[in-house]
Amino acid sequence: MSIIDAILSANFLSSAVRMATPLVFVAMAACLGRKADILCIAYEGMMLFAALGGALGSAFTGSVLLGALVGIIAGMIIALIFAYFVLYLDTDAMLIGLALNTLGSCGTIYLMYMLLGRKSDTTSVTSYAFPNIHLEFLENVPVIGALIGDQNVLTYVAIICTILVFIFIFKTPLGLRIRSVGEDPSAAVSVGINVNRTKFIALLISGLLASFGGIFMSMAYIPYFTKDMVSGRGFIGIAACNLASGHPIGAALFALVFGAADALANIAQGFRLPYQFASMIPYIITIIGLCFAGMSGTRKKKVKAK
Amino acid sequence: MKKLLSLVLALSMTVMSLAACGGGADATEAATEAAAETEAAAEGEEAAAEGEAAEATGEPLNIMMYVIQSLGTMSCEDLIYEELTKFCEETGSTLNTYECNNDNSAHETTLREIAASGAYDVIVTGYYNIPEYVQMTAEQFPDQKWILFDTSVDYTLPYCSNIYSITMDQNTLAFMAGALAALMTTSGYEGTNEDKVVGWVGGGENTAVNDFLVGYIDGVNYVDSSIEVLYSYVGDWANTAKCKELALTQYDMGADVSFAVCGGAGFGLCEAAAETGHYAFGVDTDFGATLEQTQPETAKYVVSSAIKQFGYAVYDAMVAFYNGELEFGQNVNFGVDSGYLEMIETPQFDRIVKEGMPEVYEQFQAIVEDLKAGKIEVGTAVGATEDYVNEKKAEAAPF
Repeated sequence: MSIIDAILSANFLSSAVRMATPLVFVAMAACLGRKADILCIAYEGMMLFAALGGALGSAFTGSVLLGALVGIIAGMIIALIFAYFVLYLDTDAMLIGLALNTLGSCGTIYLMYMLLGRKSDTTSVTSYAFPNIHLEFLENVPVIGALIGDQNVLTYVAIICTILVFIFIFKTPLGLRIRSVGEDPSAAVSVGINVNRTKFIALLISGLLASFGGIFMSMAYIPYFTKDMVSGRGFIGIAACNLASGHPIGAALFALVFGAADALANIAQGFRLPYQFASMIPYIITIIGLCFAGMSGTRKKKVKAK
Repeated sequence: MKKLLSLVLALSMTVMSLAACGGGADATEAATEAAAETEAAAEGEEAAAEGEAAEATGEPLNIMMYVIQSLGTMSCEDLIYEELTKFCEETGSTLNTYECNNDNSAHETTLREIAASGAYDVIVTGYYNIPEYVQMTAEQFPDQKWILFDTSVDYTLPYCSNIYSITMDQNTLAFMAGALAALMTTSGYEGTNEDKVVGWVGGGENTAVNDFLVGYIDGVNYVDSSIEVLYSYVGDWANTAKCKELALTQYDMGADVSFAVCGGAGFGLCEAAAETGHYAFGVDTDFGATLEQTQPETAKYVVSSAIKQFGYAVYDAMVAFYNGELEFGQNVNFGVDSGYLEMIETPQFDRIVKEGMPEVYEQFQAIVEDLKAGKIEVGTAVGATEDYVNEKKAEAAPF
C-alpha cells in the first residue's frame, strides 16, 4: 500500500472527519464568541470539564444522555464563570481564559482524585459512550459514504450544529443582536439592546457548543476520561474560526482541513516519516492558512480604503 | 472597586488552580509534615549523626518518596508507592510523598529542602532526569541516604556513597514483547491476519522510550526479520485520541498486535484494538486489570503488559535497609533472569496465548529461557548514538 492509496482510502476520510468533529464544535463556539467580539480562549478548559462531567455523569447515572447533560452543564459552568468575569467584572479576557484553561487541566485531575481517588483516568467506574451510526443508504455513494457513512452520533450532531449556528447567527433576531453588539456596541445600545446580556447569552451558547466537543472526547473517542485528553484541540478550533473570519460554514470546513492534516500526520508516521516532522504537518497547514487569510484580509481592507 | 474585586477573584482562581497542580492533598500534607519535622529533627540532629548505625537495626523508618510525575498515572511510580505502603504497614514505618507533576524546575530546591530537613532516613526517587539533582543534593548533604530507580548516578564521585540505585534492562523486556508480537502475527490464529506487520506506539522520543523500540525491533527480527514494525509516536503521554488514531492506522495497515509505550495515552491503543478486533500490549502497569472491571469488552484485547517490577526491587532494597544489610554506593541492574522484568501472564494472556495459541506460547517460553540464559544479545538505546537508533529504526522494515 503506497501513501497515496492510504490517503485515498475510506479509512483516511472517515478518520479525518472523526478527528475534525471536536474541532468543528469548538470552531462553532469560537464563531459565536468572535461575532460577539469577545476573545475567549477558555474553550480548552470548558472541554476538559465537559469531558470529565460526561464520563462521570454517565458512570453515576448509567445513562449516556444524562451523562452528556452533566458534561454540558459542567462545561457551561466554566463558560458562565468566564462570561461573568469578562462582562460584569471587566476582567481581561485573555487572563481569565488562561486561568480557566489551567483550572481545566488541573481542576479535572483534582476532581477526579476527590471523587475516584485516581489521577490519570476514570477507568475505575464504568462510563458509557455514544454509539456509531452506520448509514446504509450512503454505503455505495463514493467519498460522501466514506466521509460520513459510519460515524459517531456526535459527528452528525456537529454537522447539524454547523448549519444551526449559521442560521442562528445570520437569520435570527438574537443572532442579529449578537452581531450588532459585536460590531458596534454603542449603536446597539442606541436601539435599546442590552449589550452585556446579549454577549452573556452568546458566551453561554458558545460554552454549550464547546462542551459538545468535550463530551466527544470522553464519550465517543474513548468511553472514559483521561487527564489532559483534549490536548490543545480548543486552540485549533479557535484557529479554524479565525481562518474563516468567524463564518460558521467556513470554520467547519477549516476544521475539516485540520482534521485531515491530523489524519495525514498519523498516516505519514506509518510510512516512516520522522514523527517530529509528521507532528508539524497540522501546524504548518495552520500557518499557511493564516497567511492566506491574512493576505485576503489586507486585500479587503485595501479595497475598502479605496 | 469592581475592578479590584475582579482582579482579586481572578488572582485567587489562578492560585487555586496552581494549588491543584501541586499534586493534591498528599503534597501539601507532606510539606506541612516535613516542615513540622524539620524543627524536631534540628534538635535531634547531633544525636542522629552519632547514632547512624542504630537507625538500621530494624527500627521504623521515615521514608520520603519524591515522585517526578504524580501518583495514579499508571507509571512505575504507582507500583513503587504500593510496595512502599506495604513495607510501611509491615514495619510501622512512615511514608511521605511529594509529587512534582513533571515540573523539572522544582527538583533542585525541593530535594535540597527535603534533605536539609534531616527528617527522612531515606529518599526514594527515580527516572532519567533526576540524577543531576540527586548528585547536587548529595554533595551538600552527604549523609542523606537515597534509593533511586530506573536511573543511576556517577559512583566515582566521593559523595555518592550513600546512594543505591536500581536499573532494569527495559530493552530485554521490549525484546520479549517484540518476540511475542512477531510469533502472534505469523501464527494464523484468531485475531491475526496474513500480513507480516506489527505495531508500536511511543509517547515521545527519549532514551527510555527508544530503548523500548530498539528492543522491540530486535525481538521481532529475532523471530522473523521479514516482519515489518510500524512505529509511531504520540508526541505526549496524554493524548488518548491521537494514540487511538495512530493505532487504528497501524491496524489498518495490517498490524495485528501493537505495543503501547506511551503511559496513559496507551488506553487509546487498547480502544483501537477492541474496536478493530486486534491485540494490544500495555506498559508499566497492568492495563488489562485496570480495564477488566469497568470496560471488560476492551480488556479482552489487551493481551499482556510489559512491566518493570521496580516495586518489588525497591521493596527488597527497603527490607535490606531496614535490616541494615543494604550496601549503598552501588548500582544494581536487574536483567530478565531476575524475574522482575516480565510480560505479565494475565487472565487474558492465558486465554489468548497460553490456551489459544499453544505453539506460540511454547516458542515464547523458549525465547524467554534463552534470554534468561544470556544466549541472545539485545541492542540498547542507552548510551547509544542517534545513528545507532536510526540504524535500528531502519531494521524495522522487512528485510
